[in-house]
Amino acid sequence: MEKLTKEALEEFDLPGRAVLRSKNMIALGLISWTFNRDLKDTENWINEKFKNLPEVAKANIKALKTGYNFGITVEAFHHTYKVDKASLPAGEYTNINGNIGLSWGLIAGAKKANLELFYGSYPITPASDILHELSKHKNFNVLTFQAEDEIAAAAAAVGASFTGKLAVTGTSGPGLALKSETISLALSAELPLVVVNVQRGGPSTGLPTKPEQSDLMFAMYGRHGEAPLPVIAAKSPSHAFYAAFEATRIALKYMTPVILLSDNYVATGSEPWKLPEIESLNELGTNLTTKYNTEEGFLPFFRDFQTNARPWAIPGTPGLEHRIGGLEKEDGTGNVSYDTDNHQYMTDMRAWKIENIANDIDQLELNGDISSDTLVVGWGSTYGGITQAVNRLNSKGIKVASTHFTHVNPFPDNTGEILSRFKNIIIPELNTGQLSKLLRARFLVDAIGINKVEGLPFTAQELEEKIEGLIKSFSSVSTSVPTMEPVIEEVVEEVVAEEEPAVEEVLEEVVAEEEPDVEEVGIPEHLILRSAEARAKALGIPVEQVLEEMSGNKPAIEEPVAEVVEEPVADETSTEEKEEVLGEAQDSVVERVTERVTERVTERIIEKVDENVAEKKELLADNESQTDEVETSEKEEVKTDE
Amino acid sequence: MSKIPLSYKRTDFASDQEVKWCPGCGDYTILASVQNFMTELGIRKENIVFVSGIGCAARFPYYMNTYGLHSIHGRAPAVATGVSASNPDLSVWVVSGDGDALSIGGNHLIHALRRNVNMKILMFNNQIYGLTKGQYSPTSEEGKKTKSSPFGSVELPLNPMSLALGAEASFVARSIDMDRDLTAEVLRAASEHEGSAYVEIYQNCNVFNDKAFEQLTSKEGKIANRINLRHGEKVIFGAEDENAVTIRDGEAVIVKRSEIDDSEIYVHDITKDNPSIAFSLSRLSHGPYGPTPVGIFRQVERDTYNDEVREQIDSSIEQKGEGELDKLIRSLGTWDVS
Ligand SMILES: Cc1ncc(C[n+]2csc(CCOP(=O)(O)OP(=O)(O)O)c2C)c(N)n1
Ligand code: SF4
Ligand SMILES: [Mg+2]
Repeated sequence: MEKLTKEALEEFDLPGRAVLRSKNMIALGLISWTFNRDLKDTENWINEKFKNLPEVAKANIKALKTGYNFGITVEAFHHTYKVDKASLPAGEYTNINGNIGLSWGLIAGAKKANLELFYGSYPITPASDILHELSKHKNFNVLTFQAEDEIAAAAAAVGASFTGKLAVTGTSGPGLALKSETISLALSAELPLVVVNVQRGGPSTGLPTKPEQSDLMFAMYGRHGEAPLPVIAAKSPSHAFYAAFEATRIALKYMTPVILLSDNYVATGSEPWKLPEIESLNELGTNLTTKYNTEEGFLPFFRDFQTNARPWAIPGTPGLEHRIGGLEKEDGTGNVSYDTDNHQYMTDMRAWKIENIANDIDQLELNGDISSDTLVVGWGSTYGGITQAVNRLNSKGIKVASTHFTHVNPFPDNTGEILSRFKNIIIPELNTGQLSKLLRARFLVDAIGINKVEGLPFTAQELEEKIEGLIKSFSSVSTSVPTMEPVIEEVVEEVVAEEEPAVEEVLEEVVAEEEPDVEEVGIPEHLILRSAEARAKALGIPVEQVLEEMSGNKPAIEEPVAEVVEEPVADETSTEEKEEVLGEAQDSVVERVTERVTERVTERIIEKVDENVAEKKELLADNESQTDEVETSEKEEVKTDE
Repeated sequence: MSKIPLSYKRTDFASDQEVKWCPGCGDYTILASVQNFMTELGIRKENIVFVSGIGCAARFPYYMNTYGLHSIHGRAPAVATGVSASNPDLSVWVVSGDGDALSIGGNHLIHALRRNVNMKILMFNNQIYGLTKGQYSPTSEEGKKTKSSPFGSVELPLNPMSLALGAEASFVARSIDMDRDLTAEVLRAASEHEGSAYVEIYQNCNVFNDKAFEQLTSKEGKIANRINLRHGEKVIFGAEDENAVTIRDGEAVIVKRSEIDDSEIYVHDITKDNPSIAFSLSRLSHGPYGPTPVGIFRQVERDTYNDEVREQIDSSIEQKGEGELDKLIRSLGTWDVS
């Protein structure tokens, strides 16, 4: 290639070293030929780059063309490839990686909340580029603080948050460990804070430049004490923008630290991003206040009634001077309190505040064939791989659906319902099964993991094969059935007869289920009472009045059972509408009953068939195993001798 | 920040919280001194923020009727950096103990001082871990017997003044809880100083380390051992001013005044750019034993972190204009798909 370069550039008056530097252009030309790429864009780019050195530009273009022509002449490879333009929806695009997307999302969040952005960080791969990116954009009122360590980075962010900034601290695995105590402080003091964790291979220094999703449990539980907080995960480079914006929204609205998870694959990978209309991004509300919130004055822990967030009064605001910290606080006043009841209440309230976010976030959506028995569930950077794999399987005629979590804590309200629609749940993760554990614990689903920690993302093909394999294994019983046809028929009859009385039973069951669970729908009762008492005391009004006020605002709290069905009827609904509503409710009951009965019958059939098959096999096996056993015991003896 | 005459009383700075230090604790005296001083500070109380870590001393913000943030052990200088950098119009005060500031939080302390962040750091040094009931601290003397060192500590203590000077602190001073006048004087200078000011206050923990500072606080000790550092004045001390400090081979040494000519007496200069003499003064004692300098060791002008950070933001806005999101998301080039 050196020779080729020298020959190509003979005509130019360039020193030897400069000539050889154009070797890369020969290579680029050759590659462009291999992939059937037009050279025009590259030529334009060279001309732009060497605007002030036209001679150099010419030489580079010559080298580029030489490489291309070399490919044509000698047919260096037997195949060339043509990569077609990706088919993207119409619009304006930019190419973006996850770290930049995330940084811009934070800037957008600050701007839409009308706040200045404070970013505290200590350099660490692969999160450093967020610090680099944000430090460029000071004209957006961005203040970046390169701290002496991750503790200081988080602590300074807490200070900035106390002072009324959109405070963010960013790091990767080992740094998140150092920030843990400070995140607990923000959580206890109920200050908004976005904590970015760009995951990499762990534990310890691990694989700093490789993707892994192994900090999910750490994000969920990596704090001392009862310390729940929202966890959000970016699923692609461009989604990192929206995930950061969402993390900002939640932190500010609920006065809480939020952990925003990215990983090396999202952070450093790039993709075309269809630019959003900036106007279409919502303005973000805050809890900033300059006024007394009770008759007696300002109570820093007097909560908002809907969100349970406390007010955000910042230094510089006259009359609202107050002291907060990490010691347990009395609800309302925020004064240090060692009262045992209060601690129970505050612990429950902090947990409830986060749990309550579940109905203020995007609900889970299904992709693929939703009539299937199998759901593939993902979170974070596996999004692309999973979606592609599922779509490919669907186009091969294999039934499978997928869904993806952006919000990992709290899970969206419809999570349980979605999971319950499928018999088989498959969870691919770049860890040893962390989301699987969370979903199993919370929803008692028998999730099956596809897990790896090889420092590499899943490829769509890899997932396609594994998912297909699992689906086959799920249906292996029914594939072995044909030889048993007569048995099945018999069994079906038997079971249907047996199950008939069960229909009634199921009906009852389903009706009971239609009545929503109080714990899930509304705020726990003891929290209502306590917060009503606090409110009554602060406002100097009777508790009953507060309760009334509260139930007016949150109708589902007091008597959710009756209200779910009756509520729409209660207002000025016409009889027709009434009937429609009732009809709908009935329809849904009938549907569920049918579903349930079918399910039960099917289950029983499979069970019975299995039993029959197993019996048969046992008989067969009994005969064979006798010889087997002899062999094995001989082998074992040999082993013991060794 | 502009100072205005305000008619505050000391009680305006007392919060409604019951003060819970042990009776007789030196922290009470310091609290009174600080509350008193706040009335003359000339800053509205909504613009004052007290930040602390954890420890007996760190309870301080709860008792001040200003904004307050009681954070976590050792991290107050870092938290205060966020507060101060975020809003340069605030008067930011850090209250910390010897364990909080010099042990778990040593890293944050030196970096806050190095950066010259606008904050006043009051380090209550009682040479013991008070809150955790009496273990030796990084300023406890060698041989100190405590619960965690029943055979005596084998560790060399830190010299808090030397440490700060080594960390490029632009303001370094020492006071004593009992000496309210000195404390007020030092606080005044600290509050007027642009950048980080570091003030060590010897504080008696009468429960776990009583009389640690006796050599400087007893009737005789006070007179015999305090070396009062005053800018522009000759450094002399003793009941009859019979002792002096002079500089020999670049080092501060204590001499009998009778042994030298008065012109050889060191005239204290807090503004010297080179911290060597201040450092040397800090080495006259290693702990509150024997002749020990108190007052301001060093006060030099240096750009503050706050100003420089603001300056970069302002000039960036001036050059590029207020950032616009529409432009930002197009800044890497775009293309159209039709
Ligand atoms: C991370 C952490 N480690 C340990 C402690 C326990 N702790 C609280 S205060 C303290 C030492 C306090 O000593 P000092 O800073 O000198 O303050 P003093 O009580 O003497 O005023 C310790 C070890 C803690 N709160 N947090
Ligand atoms: S333990 Fe010591 S420092 Fe703490 S309050 Fe009591 S006397 Fe003061
Ligand atoms: Mg102490």
